[in-house]
Amino acid sequence: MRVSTFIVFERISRSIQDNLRKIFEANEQISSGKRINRPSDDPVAMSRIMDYRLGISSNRRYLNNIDDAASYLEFADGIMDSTAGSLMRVKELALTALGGAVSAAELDDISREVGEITDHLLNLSNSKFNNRYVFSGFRTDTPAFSNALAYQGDTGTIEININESSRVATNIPGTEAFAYTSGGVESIQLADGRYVYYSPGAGTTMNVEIRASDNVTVLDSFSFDNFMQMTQIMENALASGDLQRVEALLKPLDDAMAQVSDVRSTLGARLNYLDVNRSDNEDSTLNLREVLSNTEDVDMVEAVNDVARAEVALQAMRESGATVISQSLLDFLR
Amino acid sequence: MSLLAIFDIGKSALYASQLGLDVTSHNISNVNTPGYSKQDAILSIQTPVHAKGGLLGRGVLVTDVRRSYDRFLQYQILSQKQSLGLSTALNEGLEQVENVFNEQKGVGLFNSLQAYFNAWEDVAANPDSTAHRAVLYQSAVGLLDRFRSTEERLVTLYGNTSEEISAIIERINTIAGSVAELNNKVAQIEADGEHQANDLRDRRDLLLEELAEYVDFTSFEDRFGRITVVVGERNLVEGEYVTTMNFSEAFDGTVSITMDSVDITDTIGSGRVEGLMRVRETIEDTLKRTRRLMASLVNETNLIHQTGFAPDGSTGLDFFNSLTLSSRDYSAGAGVTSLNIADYSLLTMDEYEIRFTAANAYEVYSVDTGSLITSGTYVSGNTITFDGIDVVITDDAGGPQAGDRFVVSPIEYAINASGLAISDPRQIAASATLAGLPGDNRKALEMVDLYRNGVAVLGGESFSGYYSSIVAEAGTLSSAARDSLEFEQAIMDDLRMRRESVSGVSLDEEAINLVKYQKAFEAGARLIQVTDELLDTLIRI
Repeated sequence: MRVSTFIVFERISRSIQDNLRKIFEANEQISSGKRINRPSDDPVAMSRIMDYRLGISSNRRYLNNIDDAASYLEFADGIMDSTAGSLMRVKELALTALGGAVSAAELDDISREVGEITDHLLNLSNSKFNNRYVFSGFRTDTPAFSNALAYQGDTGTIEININESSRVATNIPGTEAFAYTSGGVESIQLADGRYVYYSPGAGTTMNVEIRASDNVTVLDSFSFDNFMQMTQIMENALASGDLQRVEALLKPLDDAMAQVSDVRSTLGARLNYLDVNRSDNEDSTLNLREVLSNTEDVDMVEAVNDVARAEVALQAMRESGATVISQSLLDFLR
Repeated sequence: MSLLAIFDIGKSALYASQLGLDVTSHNISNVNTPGYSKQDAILSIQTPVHAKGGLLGRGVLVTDVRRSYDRFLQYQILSQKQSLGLSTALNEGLEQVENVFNEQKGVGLFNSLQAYFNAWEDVAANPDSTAHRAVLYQSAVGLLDRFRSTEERLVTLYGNTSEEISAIIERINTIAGSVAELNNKVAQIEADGEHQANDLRDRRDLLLEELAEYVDFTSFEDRFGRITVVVGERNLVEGEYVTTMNFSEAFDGTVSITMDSVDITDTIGSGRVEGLMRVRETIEDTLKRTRRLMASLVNETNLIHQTGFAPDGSTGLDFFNSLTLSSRDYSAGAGVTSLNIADYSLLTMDEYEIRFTAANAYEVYSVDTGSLITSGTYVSGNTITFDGIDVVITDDAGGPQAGDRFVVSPIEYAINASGLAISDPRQIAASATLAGLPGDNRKALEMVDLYRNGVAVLGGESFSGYYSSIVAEAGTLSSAARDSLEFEQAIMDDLRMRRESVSGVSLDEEAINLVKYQKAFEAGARLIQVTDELLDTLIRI
């Protein structure tokens, strides 16, 4: 091939350009730390990268939600723990009152303590966490129970996403936490032959009838909607010395404690579920970060190597180029 | 044989050497001139004469100055230049489209989409928090801004391509004029039929090379040395005459190139012009997909939001401004007098074309799928209904004719006219039941599900999935264009090297020629001197 002057210059300048481009590309990778700096660098990997990022971002979101949910549930569990303790104390006091040989003055004391526990239960049921009344269902801006001990919330459960496909309820409505619903009419016969009938009414209402030993004559009847109303009846009965009512309330008291323990196991189950999801979530994030890094991050050693190799080539090119272009036959003609 | 004849031989030697030096210096001075072909002085032997001793040489004759030129190679270069022009334009254009969606540099919609979706998730987790609603409100504003700037960049790119095409067409016309002028000169100079107009031909070849970068053409030379250039079955240059190429842009943004009022747009198949045309198609497609994404997001969000209840007591409100329809009128005799979305839940986000098959019959096609949606009998002023859209077409001058069409689009204004329909974060409807229920997050959860799952109007893809596919597509096209440019460039480089090998000037070679002709000149001069001395000798006898 005949070599013209243009070819010589063109070859050298193109080789220098090629090497400079290689250095530039490798430098871009090194400075950004990324192998893929624009979608066209690897379009297939690009859509995977976006998937991974989406996954990581959603995981972060879900992790927040899990922590939020866990704090609400733990808070509720603490409240239920106190509730269980209070109910237990009421039962002890009731049994003391029924134990006999209790003076009227002592009954008064017991009644006053039960009254205080009623107030305490009301306060517990109206607990606030993060400025939210936690036992009011969806009505988080309203105390769950009024001072007249009526439920003011609804039965809504606030659910929260904890992964792509599942949700966890972050609250227990007051109708479950501070009231119970029994399946049907129940009756018990007391030691003195009288009967007590417990029949559920609308919602969480429980009607109680105390009948004579003929099982027909109704001696006394009352009803309550929730734990606080129940302990209030107890308080009043103790104050007036109506031990018949106190005795009739022992079973509802047990039912209430069973309900609290049910609620606590529900809360515990949810918290466990959250724990499992939290560790899944963290595993998955770790995993995604790793594949993301494998996909988009540059192999530094390789990139630095590329730069070094291109620099060597460039240097050699410059040296040989300088020799070739600086000389021509004209230099030797005298 | 006279002694004086040696003078003639000496003179021919001097003349040849001088001409050789002329050509050499011309070559040296054009060593860096683009398109220049190295020239050689072609020497031959003078016809000898009969002398006593036999045939006697009469010196040297310069027959021609010829350029080193490979016509076949030149044709290859022209055709390669066309492919290279196409690839260059594609690469430049598609790279810019890609840059609009360069998620690796944080440019694009992905982060804003994420922020917006996450904000809904936050509202779902904290339905009673005003702060989270405010964040959602702001992120929705941010998302719309991003969509708008993305659209704006694409629209600007789109506009740039038509400006560039227009500028290229002007340049093509200028080149055509110069080629015609050179044709004329070449024909005049070469009229003697013996010598080629080397330099003029070089200049003309260079112009044709530039032309080839812009548009594909075929060319041939007539017997007078004039080149005819045929673009799109029309003669751009024919001898000394030029047919001007015209560029026009229609109201709907379509561009057309005409010659002799014949539309040749579709016959152009290569070169920068075709590259730009293809870039335009890609931008159109990308714009359409981006708008479809926005339109679907707006519509699906609104459909859910309308059924929700907000803390301020409002219900039935849109979250984003509801979609509006656009129409384009390709009819002289009728016009669209009313456009209305009757049922937002039926929108497919396709664009539609209402085609008149006769003055009183129309068919509605989906532009995107090409399928027939409905057809009917046209009565001026009656409503045409399809896929939740009501269109009223009314006669204005003579009524529609067969072949008339109207394009109706629910997505064209989706980004341009976008905005938030709610004016206060307290109008965000996260509740599914009653207004003022602060803990009810079920609408927000429904919204989160919407954003997480596939959407029918996006072909079953999720919003972020659909966006990913836009990004991946932009990347794929740009990467293919880059590869093909590299390939075409390599071929071009190879051809240029081969051309340079044939036609390029080598300074070393010319230095040798310089010495060669200088020595020959000195020898010729010496010859004359010797002859002069011989004559002197004779005269002194």
